[in-house]
Amino acid sequence: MSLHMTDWQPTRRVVLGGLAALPFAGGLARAQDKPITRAIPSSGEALPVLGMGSWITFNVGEDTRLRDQRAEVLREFFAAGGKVIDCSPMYGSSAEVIGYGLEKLGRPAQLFAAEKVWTWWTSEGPEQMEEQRALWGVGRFDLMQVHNLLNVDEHLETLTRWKEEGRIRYLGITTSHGSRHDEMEAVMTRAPLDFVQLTYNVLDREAEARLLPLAADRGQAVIVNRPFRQKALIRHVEGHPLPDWAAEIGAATWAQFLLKFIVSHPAVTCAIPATSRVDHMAENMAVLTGPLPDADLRRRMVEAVENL
Amino acid sequence: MFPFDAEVLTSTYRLYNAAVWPAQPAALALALAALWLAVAPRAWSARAVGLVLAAGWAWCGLIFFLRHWSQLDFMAPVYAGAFLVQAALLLILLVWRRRTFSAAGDAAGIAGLVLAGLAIFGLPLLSGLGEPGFAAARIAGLAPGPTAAFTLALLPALEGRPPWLLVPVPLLWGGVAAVTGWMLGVPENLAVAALIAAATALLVWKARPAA
Repeated sequence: MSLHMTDWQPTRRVVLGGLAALPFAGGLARAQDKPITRAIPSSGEALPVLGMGSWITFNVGEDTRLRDQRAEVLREFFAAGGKVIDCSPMYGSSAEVIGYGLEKLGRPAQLFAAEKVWTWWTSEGPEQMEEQRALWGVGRFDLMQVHNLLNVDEHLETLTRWKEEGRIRYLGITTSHGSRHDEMEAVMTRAPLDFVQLTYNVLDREAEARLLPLAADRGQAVIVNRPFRQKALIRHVEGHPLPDWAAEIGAATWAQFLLKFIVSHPAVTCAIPATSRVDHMAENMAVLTGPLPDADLRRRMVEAVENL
Repeated sequence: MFPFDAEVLTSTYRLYNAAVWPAQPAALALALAALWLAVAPRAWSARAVGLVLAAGWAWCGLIFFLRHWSQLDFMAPVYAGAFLVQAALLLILLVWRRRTFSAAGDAAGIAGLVLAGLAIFGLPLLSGLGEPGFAAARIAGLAPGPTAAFTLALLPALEGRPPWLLVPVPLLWGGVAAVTGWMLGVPENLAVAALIAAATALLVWKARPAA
């Protein structure tokens, strides 16, 4: 059964049903030639299930050699069918380095630019977002998120106005490290969000209980950060052999194994691993065109990693 | 925890050193002069050393953190503020209050001067002989780690009670250096933390009640 999910919308029943009701339940999706996509619930627009984060990896300052190397990482990302790039004012020079890379690559049309607003002061939000836009060198951001729920209600008012004015296309909120889920749940319930961003991976699965079902219920796209716990998960599994059955889901490496677990959750729109290496980007992006695990295999994936 | 990696840390020091050249020989000369004034003190030595140290801390706050480091680390303004506070404290406690260095030189003071020498020469050598190279060397008066270590290491050589108000900021910076060094695997940061810890231990030892 195909796993092209552009037209498929997750429902609360599917998410809470332990994925048993997924369209591919009971079997594996066949290998894909085109990138696996998910629809943004509020618009139906399709996004590849893998995007790119930039925390640490793109914060290289003014070093031209490192900037050029990161541009090559971006080139690999777009060549493999990537769209979503996520950044934040908190990430130092990352926005400027992304802008440098985009300029060098001729401003790829498929870019889906996701930024954040991160300031205590409401009045500073618009100025900060404009500064980030200039650094990226884009006409407008596709998605603007309130970073770590900082001053969330005030900034959401601004973002709602900006969306109405066409200055951004989507709005959302973020959290990370599995923290502040109660507060996030409250905002998800009361605010008309297009996106939420949270931490979810094979060991950090708290979001499965409430946030992912709620996102499906409320029609909110989900971006997953820290898919590798910032390398800690890779260190946890490296040196151990992949399970034999990993080949059934087309996972040739642990990184692909871990990413496939995340993006096979029906409520997840995309995961955003960050890397500074071209070969790692290619390794990650291979996940876009292979089979994904069904509910039974996902359970085995959890057991495999937990038992290492 | 930190928004950069070890490679970028080294790269930033390399670019910073190129941008502020030829401040390095001037800073080294001033640090050596300060060390000499502590080794062979005159009545005005502590005031002169206080001025040199305050200038180094102010430079780190204004030039290193606000002009160069701020593009990488959102904490840069906080660090800059702390370094400027330390510069002001040095002016008050060493220049205005007219402290003096001990001519006799007790064990703690002598050991502190050895640590100060390591802060001036050992830390740049560690970079120079290691992977970063001399282009990315950290110089006392221009880079925060050696400046903090050098400052704290000179304090045991002062006569009388240690000026404890001069300890918290360098000590906190030693903590930052230790965490950065440990998490990113940067030997220079771990060396800075070790020097600061050793200098603090000397101050505590010197201030112990007489038996």
